Amino acid sequence: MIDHADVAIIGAGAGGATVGAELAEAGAKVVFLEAGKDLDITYGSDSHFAATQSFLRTIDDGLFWHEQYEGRNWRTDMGECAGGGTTIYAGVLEESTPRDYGQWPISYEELLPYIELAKERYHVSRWPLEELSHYAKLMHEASGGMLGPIQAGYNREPYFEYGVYHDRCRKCRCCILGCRYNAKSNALTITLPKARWFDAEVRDNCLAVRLNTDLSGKKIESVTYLKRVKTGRFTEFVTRHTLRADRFILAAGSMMTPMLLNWSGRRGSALANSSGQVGKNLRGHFMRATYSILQRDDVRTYQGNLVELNDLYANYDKGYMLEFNMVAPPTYMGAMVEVMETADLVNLIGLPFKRLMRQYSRLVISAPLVRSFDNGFTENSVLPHASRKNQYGLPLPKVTFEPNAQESTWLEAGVAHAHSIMLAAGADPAQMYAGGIDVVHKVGTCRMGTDPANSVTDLNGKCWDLDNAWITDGSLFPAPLLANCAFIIYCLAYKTADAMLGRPRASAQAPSPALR
Amino acid sequence: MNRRDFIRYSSAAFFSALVADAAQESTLKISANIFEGAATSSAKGSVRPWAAITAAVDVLVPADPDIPGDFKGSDYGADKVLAESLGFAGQAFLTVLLNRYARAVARKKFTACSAGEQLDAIKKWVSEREGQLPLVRDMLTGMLSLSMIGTFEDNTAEDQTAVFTSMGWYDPEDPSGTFRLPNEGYVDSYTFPVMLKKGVRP
Repeated sequence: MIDHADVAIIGAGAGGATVGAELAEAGAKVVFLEAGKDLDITYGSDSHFAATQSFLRTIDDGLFWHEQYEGRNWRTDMGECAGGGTTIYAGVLEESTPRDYGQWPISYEELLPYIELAKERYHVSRWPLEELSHYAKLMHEASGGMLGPIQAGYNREPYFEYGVYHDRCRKCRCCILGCRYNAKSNALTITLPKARWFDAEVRDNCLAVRLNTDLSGKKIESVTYLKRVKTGRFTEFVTRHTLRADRFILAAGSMMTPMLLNWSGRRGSALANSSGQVGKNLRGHFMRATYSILQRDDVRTYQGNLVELNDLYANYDKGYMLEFNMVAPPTYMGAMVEVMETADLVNLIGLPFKRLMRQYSRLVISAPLVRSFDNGFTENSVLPHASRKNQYGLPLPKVTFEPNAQESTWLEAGVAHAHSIMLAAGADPAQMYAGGIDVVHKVGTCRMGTDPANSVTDLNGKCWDLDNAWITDGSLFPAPLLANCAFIIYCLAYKTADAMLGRPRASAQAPSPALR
Repeated sequence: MNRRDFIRYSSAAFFSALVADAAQESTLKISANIFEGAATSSAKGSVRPWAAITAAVDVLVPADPDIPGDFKGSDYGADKVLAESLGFAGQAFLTVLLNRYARAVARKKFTACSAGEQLDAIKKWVSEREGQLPLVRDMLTGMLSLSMIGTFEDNTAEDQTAVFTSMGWYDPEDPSGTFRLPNEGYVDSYTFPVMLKKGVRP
């Protein structure tokens, strides 16, 4: 089957859905190719929620994507489904501190109009402390006022938009499973419905495997994709299709976008890679979840938003950000067994673990995040594996990602700081746990810049080497940020949409016409 | 063995063989283990837990001797939830892995081990999880997670309340939130009167 779209978007996540909604609203025929499955966002639907209810089902549904590292395997927080990683994110939508943009070719001030736009479109707010849980207030006090409410996409009041009812957040702390009442703002419930409202088409279970260029290699003519239909738990029926389009947007995330460019290259060289930066400069946040048990009965940590507090960049110069989290049923068990140090877990499983679970309502969790320490260029990368291939015969990603000495030092300092706050709040010093090092918020594999010699795209995400291709996802990040990445991906996507539509910023800031 | 069962069992054996080959675990004894739970498997829409699955759940969530009448994992159906999540082939694969580690620590299959030996087998698996294939590690993570989570999944409200009360996860004096199936039981929740279907423009 060969058909045609004005704009083909590879990936219906944070970047793709955001830019797609704007282009569809402007009248373009937009087609999304989403590698994962579409999800039902009918109000209260179990079909959306149940799909993510437990870790095994999550894995079975492909919502988590396994990177296969050289020498070890590692689960990521990248979502392979409609809405991408935002479907299962915690809803923390921070733009970071202006100081954090020192190594970026775009200043915070230049990005500010898009920050304001994204806040409006994604209904971002910072809840007042008095509306947070008792637990949050307790940790706020224990930190001496350093910890404060996060900026997030948790709805404070219900609203109706583009055919979707968004309920008020009930503080059920299950954001990471997907909110079945659409109270969490994300690409699945905000911008994808808007794109559909303006007749965009979402083709789910469609894995893009190759971008086909003309003879000059400067223009993409079509994208080849595999339509995957599950025929059983471990089997699928695959058909190959081609979609032609005038313009192409790569928004498959910081892992798959460089891989798609690599799969589409010729003679061992990735597409759009005259700079040699495709797949390079992978970065993200190193994290060690820390746990303890509060020795007090007046707190129930299952009541509240999933993430309620962070340090508001108070520890920026120390290289880390502290987030204090609530506990959710599967995340507790799943996260504990997945990220806890293996030696600790060996000692805990069985009766000790059950006894620990009996203290669940007094469990306190912190997630110190450490930004990458680099000057815009790092040795960490996502490149095609030399020998290992996936079930479609395409090279698997070989991910190189290790914390350097500075990052490790920052991480240990963050863990110690989190533990000190827990102890001040009344945590049991005999029950202080720390998980293994995890990596979240991966970005930066197709860096944008002002110099085609060392960047893949310009500052609007337009590929230097291709006349009709843009990138709008976390891979654009030219340097590390301390804040969670989703919100800045939204902002960059709005910037790309403006550039593609050739419209001045003022028009994009106008109230959305479709709030009906 | 009827045709349907033959297809199911041979598919599971084939799948396990593929995984074993990928894991380069040449010592796996697939053929002997794959049929272990066949007698308890059922058709007609429900997946019944194999004996090794139930044993693993009970050793991971044992009754606490300090608490009279305490429950174990299978009392509230955690083994059934795990079995449903895994499916037939998944149970076969998990059983293969449990038996492998049981033989490594006690030289007998998992269900023939004492509870202590079974726990040692699982601990050995945990200790070796770094560097394992994603599917193998997922099996471990899923088993560990669902052994506890499964006690409250798919249960009646009465059973859930019993589990939550026993675990200290439910406070009847404070109904504004509880460790219940997420979003349920919230007294301040809004109810929208119209079910909105995706793509439908009201």
